[in-house]
Amino acid sequence: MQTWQDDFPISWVDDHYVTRREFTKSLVLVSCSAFAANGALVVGSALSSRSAPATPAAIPGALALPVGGSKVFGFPGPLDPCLLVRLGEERFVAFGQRCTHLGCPVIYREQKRDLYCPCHEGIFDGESGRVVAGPPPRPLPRVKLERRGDELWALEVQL
Amino acid sequence: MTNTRRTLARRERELTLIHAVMVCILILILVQSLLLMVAVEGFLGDHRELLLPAAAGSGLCFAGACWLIRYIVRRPAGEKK
Repeated sequence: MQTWQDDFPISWVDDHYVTRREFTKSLVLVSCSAFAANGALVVGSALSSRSAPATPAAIPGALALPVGGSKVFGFPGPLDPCLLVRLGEERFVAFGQRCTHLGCPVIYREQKRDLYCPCHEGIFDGESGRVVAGPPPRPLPRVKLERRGDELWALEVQL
Repeated sequence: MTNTRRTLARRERELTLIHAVMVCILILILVQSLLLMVAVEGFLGDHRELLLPAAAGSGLCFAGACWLIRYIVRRPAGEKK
């Protein structure tokens, strides 16, 4: 009696069997990819450090902000959101708006004087940007500000 | 010692060697993962001084894995399915 196995003589199990030898060789490929990833980070760091430094830019409407208010602006470019906070009449602070946990935009809470990430409840200090609570691993990058006459200028981002 | 016993003993030695190499390479990969985590944290947090040592350590681990694999590559395959 002819069975269907006679028509299809290839053993699926044998064909897909991975020996320990082959598995160990594939581990070396994994090691190679980990090394390549590390190398890519070094190259990426070298390339980014060679790029042009941020051009200082005026923050529109900064001085019209009420005390305790906040405003989003783009620096160094329009795709890099930053948050300007007016802590006092002459006191301004600015930080990168992307939470250092997973990149959600943070908001300023005037009552608690802190920066809050609603995604995973990360909290940053409103004056220094350091992590107060929650999962963020690093403080918010600070934007260096300078008052020039009637304008407030963003000079550079300090990580 | 009969031929069968010699064959079995040799096979046992080969398997022990393969297992030992596998475990050592897995440990090296684990160390490389930790170094990669350190490198990513350093890159994101602007601690650029961590990148080169982490890459050097990862390179050493990869070189170690390549050195270990030669024990398997040079030996003829004797494993049965």
